[in-house]
Amino acid sequence: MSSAANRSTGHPRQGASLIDPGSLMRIKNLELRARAIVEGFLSGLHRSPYHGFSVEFTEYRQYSPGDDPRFLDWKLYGRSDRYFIKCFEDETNLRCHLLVDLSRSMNFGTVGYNKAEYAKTAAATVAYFLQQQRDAVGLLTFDDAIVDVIPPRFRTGHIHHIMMSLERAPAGTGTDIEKPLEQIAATVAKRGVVVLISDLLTPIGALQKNLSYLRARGHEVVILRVLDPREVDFRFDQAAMFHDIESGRDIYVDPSEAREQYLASFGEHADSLQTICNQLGIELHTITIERPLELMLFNLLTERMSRGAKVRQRGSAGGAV
Amino acid sequence: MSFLTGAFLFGALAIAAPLLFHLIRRTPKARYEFSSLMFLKPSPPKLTRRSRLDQWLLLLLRALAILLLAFAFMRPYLRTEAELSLNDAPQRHIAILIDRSASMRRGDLWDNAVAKVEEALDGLESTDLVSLFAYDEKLEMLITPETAGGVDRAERRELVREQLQSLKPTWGASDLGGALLGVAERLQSADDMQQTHAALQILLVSDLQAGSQLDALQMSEWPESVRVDVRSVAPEEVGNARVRLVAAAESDVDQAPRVRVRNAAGSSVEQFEVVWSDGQTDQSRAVSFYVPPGESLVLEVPVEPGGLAPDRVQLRGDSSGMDFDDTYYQVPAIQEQIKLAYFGDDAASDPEQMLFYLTRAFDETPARKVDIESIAGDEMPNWEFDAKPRFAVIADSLSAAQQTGIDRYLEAGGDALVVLRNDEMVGQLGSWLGGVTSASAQPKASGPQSYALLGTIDFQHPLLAPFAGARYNDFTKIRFWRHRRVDLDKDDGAVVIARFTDNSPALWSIARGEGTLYVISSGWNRDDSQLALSTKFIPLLSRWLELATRDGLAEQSYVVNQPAPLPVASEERIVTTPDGKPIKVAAEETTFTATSVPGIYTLTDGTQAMKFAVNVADAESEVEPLDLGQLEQFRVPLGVAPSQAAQLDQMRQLRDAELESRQKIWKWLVVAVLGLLGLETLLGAFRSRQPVQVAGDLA
Repeated sequence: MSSAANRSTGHPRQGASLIDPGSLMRIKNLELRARAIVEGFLSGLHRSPYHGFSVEFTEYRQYSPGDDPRFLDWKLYGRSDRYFIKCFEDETNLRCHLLVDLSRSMNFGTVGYNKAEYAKTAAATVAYFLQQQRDAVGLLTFDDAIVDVIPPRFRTGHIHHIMMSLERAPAGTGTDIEKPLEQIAATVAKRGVVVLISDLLTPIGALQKNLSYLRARGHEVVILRVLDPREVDFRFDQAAMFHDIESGRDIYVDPSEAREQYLASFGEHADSLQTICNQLGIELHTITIERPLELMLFNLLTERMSRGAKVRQRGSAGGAV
Repeated sequence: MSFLTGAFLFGALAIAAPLLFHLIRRTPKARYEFSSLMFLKPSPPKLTRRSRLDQWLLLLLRALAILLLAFAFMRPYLRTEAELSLNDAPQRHIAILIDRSASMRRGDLWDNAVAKVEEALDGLESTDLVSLFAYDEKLEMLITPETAGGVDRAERRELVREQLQSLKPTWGASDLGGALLGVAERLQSADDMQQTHAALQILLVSDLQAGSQLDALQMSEWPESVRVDVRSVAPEEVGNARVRLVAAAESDVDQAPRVRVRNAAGSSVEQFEVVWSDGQTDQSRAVSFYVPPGESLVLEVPVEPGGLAPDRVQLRGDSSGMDFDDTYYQVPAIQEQIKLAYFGDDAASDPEQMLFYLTRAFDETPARKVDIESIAGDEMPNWEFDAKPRFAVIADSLSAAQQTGIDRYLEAGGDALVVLRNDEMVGQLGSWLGGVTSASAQPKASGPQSYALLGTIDFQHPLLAPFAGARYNDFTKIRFWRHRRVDLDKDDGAVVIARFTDNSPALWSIARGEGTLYVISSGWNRDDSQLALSTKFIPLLSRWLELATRDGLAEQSYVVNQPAPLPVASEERIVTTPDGKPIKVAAEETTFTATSVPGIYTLTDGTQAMKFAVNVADAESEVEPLDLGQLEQFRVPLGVAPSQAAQLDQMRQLRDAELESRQKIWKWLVVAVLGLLGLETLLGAFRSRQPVQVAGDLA
């Protein structure tokens, strides 16, 4: 990802540095929320003892025949008399697509705010973080159709567009994850990182096809799966009519009887999802919405770093990225 | 199978309740919104299967329990006995009692009353027995209950209708209590005699005016089996005024006659005129009265001097149709001149003497003037026809001529009183008085204790009969300082009226020819006694005068239907009624009872004609409505006796209730219900242990 991210090997301080998501959600302005998280997170990074050591090794590459001579660092050549390709900026500048699911199922939430709110905050946080690191961020929001598309840019004011788009209230009905994934695959020529933020409560089959397609186009895919704690543990105290927010269907469910079966089905779905992600080399981060967003960001970056290290190791071993 | 209370069958509709509860599933109250139902399957209570009966056995048990309970409440029983017929129920005996007192003459009351009776006759059941009575102060049985045997019921009704047409209101007062009691007793006795056990009913048709007498009800116990159905009639006009002559005080000799006009409460008229009349023309100027409703007023109505003696006062201006009591009859007032002879040489001005008190005992009144002729010495006046005195008082010894004259006077019907003032009189007149001898002289008392009182008094004697009442029979305050102790010859027919405490005769009477000779053994002069100063003195003297009036009427005013006492006569007399009809009265008759019409009656005894007036009773003028609560106070049950059909229905219900209470099928039904409920509980408990899928499916 960015250089800053790559530098960070620590994790944010637990306790005081983490912001309670409930309090955070009370801040209406999405950008402020993102800033509060990212700045707290960055301040955590600055306290890392490994700050700033890996810059040289990752930013300069020895010239090899076939490389574009335009990118040679002549200043370094002057000092060291060796050819180094200044490939750093071009290679590490990220093009990130944030895919945010704003379907009705995301309106579910039992901790004082819903998944959509959490997902938007997460998207804003990632966008803000990337923006801070001079990466290009684009946004695509969808429910059963694509709602907003903002191509990745890095320029002044771009982040505001993203924030405004995220703050728009969801209006769709069902979740159709196929279309946005297809569209990304079809329209985005340059490879980049696709961050999909969704609850992924959709059939596994369609998901697998589109994710495969996306991966085949060379995109790196990160999935942030946002879930409500009740969706995970299914703790309801009495029998009730359950109303499907998306389809409007009602069924009578006695949780004491249905819990086992639910957890089994849910777990099976999650396992299938994990399997697919593993097969396709996709990062899958599952987080429940009562957890602090910093943890989400931390996990994301840690994973990215470890992946980056693996890639580098493979690169140094085999030379291929 | 029959039922006592069939209405409880509607309770069986409660079966619908378990059925309904069975079909209506309980909709869960809680409702959760959830993100996706893709991992959920519906729990067993399926809303899509609402109308299916799952627990039909439980439902059947519950419905059966309710049905049996409703059936038990209907109180079923088995009707085993024969049906009741109309003959089993007692018939009704209805006595129609119609008021025909004078107050029924008002307006169109009588026609209304007759119409009410006919209406009641039309509404009777065919099995009802009818009798007819009418009353004023007497109860008249027109069609009696006892005549039921021979006459058909329908014919009886026709008889009642015919009698009604011939019936007219009288001038009598209404004795409602007596009439009701009389009819009730007749009904009951007829029922007892005929053993019919009928429902007894009096149908009273009356104006129920406040003046109706109810005293009889107070004195007798009302027979409980007799009900009274009151059908009252009321005139259109509520008011009524009446006029009465006010009796003049003895001192008001020169005062004009006074009349009292009373106006009924609620009357619409207040202005009246009163005038004296002789039946043809007015005999005085009309005097105007303003009498507010509910009040009365007394005013003088002077008679024109020099005219004929008017015999009635007439009231004018009363409400229309209310004139039945607007005329008051009065025998023209003629002052009677009474002569009284006093044998003795007393001075009328000497308070120590008897004559002093005698002359002052009789004041002149408009009806009477008493002249006392004092006869001193041995003379005997010639008493022929009108010149003879009404009464003679002998206070001195009589000469032979006087004794002969008095004897002749007594033989002709005169009354005399001999006062034995001293023992010489006893000696001189003893043999003339019929064997009176002096026992011993009573010395004049020297101390306050030396006096005699009347010890034995015969209040049955006509002379003292007016004193028989408890308020008047105290003679203990009359002290006799001196009296003559005499012995009487018992063979002479002397009747002792009073004796002194020493048992010597004080007052006695001896019949002499047509007349009566009274003897008193003490005088009323102050030396002898306190008699002249006592309250008994003037009434006693007046009574002597009354008893002396053998050929005259005792009174001159009566009310309708009140028997008028007639003077003793030796031959047949004729009473002429106000409408000029002569009625012969036998010599031995002591009263005249045909005073059925108000007016002036004339009694002709030989050449002598005496008049007396008959008026409508005062109570009859009190036409305010009677409070029916008074009848209830006397425990007279008001209301209509149940008809035969109603009684039959009641009997049938009673019999059914008795049958049902004997059989008590409902108890077995309740036991069955309990059994069913127990079974249902067991089954319910058993089913509740079944898999949970069905648990939520029950009502």
